[in-house]
Amino acid sequence: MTPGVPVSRCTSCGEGYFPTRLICPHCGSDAFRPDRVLDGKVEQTTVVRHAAGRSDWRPHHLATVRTSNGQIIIAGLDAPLPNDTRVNLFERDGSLFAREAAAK
Amino acid sequence: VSAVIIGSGESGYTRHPAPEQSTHTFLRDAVILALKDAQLKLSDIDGLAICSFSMEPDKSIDMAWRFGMSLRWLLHDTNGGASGINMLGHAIRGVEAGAASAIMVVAGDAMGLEYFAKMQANYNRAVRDHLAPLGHGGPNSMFAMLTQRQMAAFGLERKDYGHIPVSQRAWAAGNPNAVYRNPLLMEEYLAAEPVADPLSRYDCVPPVSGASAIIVSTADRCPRHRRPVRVRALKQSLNYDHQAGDGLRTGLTKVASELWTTAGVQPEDVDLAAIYDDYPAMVLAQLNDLKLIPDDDLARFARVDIGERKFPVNTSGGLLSAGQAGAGGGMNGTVEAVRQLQHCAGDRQVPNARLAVVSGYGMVMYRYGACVGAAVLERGE
Repeated sequence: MTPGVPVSRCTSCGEGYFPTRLICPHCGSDAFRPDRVLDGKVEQTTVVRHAAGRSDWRPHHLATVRTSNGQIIIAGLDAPLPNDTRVNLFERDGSLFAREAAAK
Repeated sequence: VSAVIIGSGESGYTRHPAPEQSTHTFLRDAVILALKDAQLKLSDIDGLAICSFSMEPDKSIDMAWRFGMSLRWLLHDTNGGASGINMLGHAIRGVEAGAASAIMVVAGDAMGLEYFAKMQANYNRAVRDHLAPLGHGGPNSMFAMLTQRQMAAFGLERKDYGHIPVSQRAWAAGNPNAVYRNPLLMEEYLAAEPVADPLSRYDCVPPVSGASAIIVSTADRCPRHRRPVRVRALKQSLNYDHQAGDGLRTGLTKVASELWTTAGVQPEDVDLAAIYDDYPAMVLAQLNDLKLIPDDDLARFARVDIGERKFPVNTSGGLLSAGQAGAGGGMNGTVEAVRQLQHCAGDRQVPNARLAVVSGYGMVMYRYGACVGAAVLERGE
């Protein structure tokens, strides 16, 4: 498990992207450095209860999360969370997940 | 030279293809029917535009070979739900530039549910690497969350969305090619099995197999008893926001004013709309972006204009009733608008239809569609 979302940060203008880009749409630079954004807030969630062509399906919880740096990402949830929950983001087996952040 | 649409063909759609049916045979059937409809010979066709996810490993030239076509103009489109409008635009310009005189535009797919699931998981790198491993189960989950955003932003309830599949199912009763033609009741819609909250079964476009085609040429090639269909305007917007927005406004917002100005007509002048309907939320989003919904009142438009049939939307039954034959879904609306404007729409004919607006929407790169286009079509003289 690796904390955060991998973001490619444009070394010219500082914009961060997920998924990675080849050219920065903001400034046109092709130079990026790897960065990580650690947290965000849940905007919407859903439960995927059924998938066409998949008989072995079990429900999955997904969230749209706006990171603290502004990227909007899709993250898996291990359990349902209400909208506006502050979350920590992490990678597990190469996929992005979110879980409720500890209260400050 | 002014290019027009002179004919159309649909293979017929099915949930369960027969063993002898394949992507190639569906595409062929649509081509043959379009030729018959336009009263052209195969040798009259000198251009081909084609979009199909499942014709691999064949490319457009392989399909020309299989179709028995010798060509001087060729396009292999990959834009899924937006391919129909994209190919139509290229074909019109191809004929008007003198690059070809009669272009067959065809799209379709045949895929079993297993192939369909595999395609959805490998749609592009972003989906393959970041969504499929989460078990996103295809785009339903993305449009589930988009629908939640639309409900919150525009004050919509589930029942408001229900008017779209219910009304389209009633239209489908008049379309022999629609896969689902039995009436759908609002109660059934509301009680349907959930798929991805808040979407249920009737909100999600059913995958089918089939293909659709149109022929773009000049008016002198149009059969004598038929009127050609003229494209008054066609505009597209591709990767309009880099997937950084909420998806509630499509790229049509960038081109709608130009579309109506070029067409020389107003949204209220059109007699029918064929709007890409992978999900009810996207029907409302595109209608709104095309300035067909007054005052951003999506709920009222769904309830009154669509629900009470004050304004004909997706008279073929749309993809929600006719089914989405993969890339063929991108042609469904254009074929329907052409048939309506040629006054060949049988039991579902909109009386005296003269002007139609058609849209295509697709390529869900990460969270929502990146490609959108629309055309204003007119019954020719």
